[in-house]
Amino acid sequence: MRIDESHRGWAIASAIILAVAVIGFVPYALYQPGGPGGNTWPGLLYGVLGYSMMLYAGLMGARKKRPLWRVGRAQAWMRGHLWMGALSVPMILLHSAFAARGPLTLVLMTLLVITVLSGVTGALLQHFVPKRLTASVPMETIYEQIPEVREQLRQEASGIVEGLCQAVASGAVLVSAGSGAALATVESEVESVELTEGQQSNIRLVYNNEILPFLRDPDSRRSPLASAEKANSFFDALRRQLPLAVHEPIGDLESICAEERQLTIQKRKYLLLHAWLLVHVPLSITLLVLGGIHALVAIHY
Amino acid sequence: MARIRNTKKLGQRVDRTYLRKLYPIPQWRRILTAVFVLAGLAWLGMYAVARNQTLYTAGNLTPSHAFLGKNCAVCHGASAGIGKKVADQKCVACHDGPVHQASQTFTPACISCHVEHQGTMRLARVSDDGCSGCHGNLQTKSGKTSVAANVESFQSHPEFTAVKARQDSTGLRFNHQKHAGEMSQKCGDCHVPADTAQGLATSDPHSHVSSRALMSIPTYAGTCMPCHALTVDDKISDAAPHDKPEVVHKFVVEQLTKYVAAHPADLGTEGTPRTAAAWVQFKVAADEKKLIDETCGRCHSFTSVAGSPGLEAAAVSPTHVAARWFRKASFDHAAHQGLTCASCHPNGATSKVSSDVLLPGIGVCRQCHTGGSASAGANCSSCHVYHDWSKEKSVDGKYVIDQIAR
Repeated sequence: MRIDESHRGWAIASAIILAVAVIGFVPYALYQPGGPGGNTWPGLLYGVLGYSMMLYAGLMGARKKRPLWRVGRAQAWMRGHLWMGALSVPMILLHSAFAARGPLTLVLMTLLVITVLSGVTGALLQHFVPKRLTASVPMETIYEQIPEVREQLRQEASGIVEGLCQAVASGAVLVSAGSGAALATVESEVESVELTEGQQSNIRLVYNNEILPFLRDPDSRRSPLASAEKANSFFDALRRQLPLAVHEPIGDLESICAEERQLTIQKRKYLLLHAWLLVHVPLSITLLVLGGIHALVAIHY
Repeated sequence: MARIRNTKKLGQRVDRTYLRKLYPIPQWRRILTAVFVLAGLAWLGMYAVARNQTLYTAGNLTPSHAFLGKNCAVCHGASAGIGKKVADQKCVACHDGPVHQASQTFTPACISCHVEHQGTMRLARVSDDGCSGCHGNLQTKSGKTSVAANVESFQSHPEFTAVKARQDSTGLRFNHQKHAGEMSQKCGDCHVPADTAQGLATSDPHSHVSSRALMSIPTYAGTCMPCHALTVDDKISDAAPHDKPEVVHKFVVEQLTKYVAAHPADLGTEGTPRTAAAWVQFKVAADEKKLIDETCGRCHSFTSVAGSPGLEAAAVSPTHVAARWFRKASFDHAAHQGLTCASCHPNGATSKVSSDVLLPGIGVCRQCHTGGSASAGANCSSCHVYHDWSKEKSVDGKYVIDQIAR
């Protein structure tokens, strides 16, 4: 989610809540006998507010699991998640009077700080990365589907190469890619062309030694095809060795390799966009559980 | 015809059942969530099994209460709940807290002054708010007060009573200027810290003043005698005792009687009587006049019975040298030993009469005890103790060790 004009309302509301909380804290800190702390009524109020904000932020996870619930738009929940989650930090600091005095409160404070920092990191990544991803990966697919798509691309490439070699045998180039899958099916009949056995053998050699290994492990940077520049040179050289009539299927192979590179970029950016959740989500749920126990015990005593 | 990669074709790549499968990142998110939550619960569980509640503490207990930290219920009670505070009964189960003043209009709860869970601090060093809450506008049951009725802080504390009196009725004559000025004696030559053996310093375990808090009262035997021996007469080799007049009179009579018995040739010389009894009487009268006028009289005043000018019927005016000036507060000289004596007692070397009050005024204290963050302590509890420990009673213990230190 981009942090833009649409956040203005949440930002203003958060600033007002923060200002009221801080202004209220000053006389409380000055005149509370024994000093401010979580065990005083104002301190308890700050704690309830802070924990409620954390709970609200946490409920966004449940909201995502139930997209059909009519409880407000997902985007509104996300904005609330961002601002209430961030606001919970000053609330908890005011609740504790800027001190973690016990082992559990120290752990809770640490969890809160890490959770919020990871959340801020995620928010920044979500703000900047998707735009770049769209620009650099026009053939983006669903992340989880990348292995399936890659398998399809491999089959398509094999089909093209097989088509080329069959065409050589029959005197016509027939490219039938996709191996039966309802994918990019291209049938192309071109004028009869004579490919020498050497050229045929060369295509198979190039495919088996360079293209297929890259398609099998497209994330590896060892292959020259992992680089757009080197891939260009590679396919230009290949085209120069082959008649013009087969340049189009060669171009398809080049396009498949380019798509693979895009999927590699998508995988990396996806990890960048989502890896922080491996810290943020587990710690935030742990924080909510331990924070709830802390609240119960503290209220009891 | 080249490959077609439009949106439709790209969309057709997707297996639409993918939502039903769990992929690595969501899977690891779940695994890590379970691991962290379970680790947190296991951590709490371990402490629960060990019946140790120190995890939940709102802050470290003071060292004297630290051993109670494992069991919150010892102080908070098993039936604690929201809004409930530690009851006084829990405190007085171990400590007696004598009343402050019989005439006080209300008694605050123990925890309103003694705030726990603040780490290493003195529980007796309470906030001024608890004091000024009453003393800022003092009300008593009788409606009368013997202390200032509107003290909010050390800045609004009235001048010390002894300083306001401007008169120290010691009943003695002493010239500080003569000793510390002309003779350049040091303060410490006469004034040394008292210790508990002299019974001047408090031995109250709740007091924060040291055993060297007060200065001892200079005594004749310990301070004056080396320079001011009580010489009576050249015919009496021993000095007179520093005692009551009748004792000194008896000493003088005995010494002169012994002398004349040993020196009968002195009878009738220098205009003295010729009989021993008359000689002794004559010499006693002369010697005791000298004692009253010069020797003893240098420091003491006498009241004599009419018609009997000697020591036999004389009485020394009562003396009172204060060892403790503050009757309702404590002061610790040992805590101030880094200062020169003259810093606080500037008239110590210039005062000529003992009636001068050399106790420093509150303004001297306020030079350091300003009340700011860079100040020496200016809390009420720096000098005053709330509980009247003279009324402390013993406590009947209620706990067994397992209950409080499990």
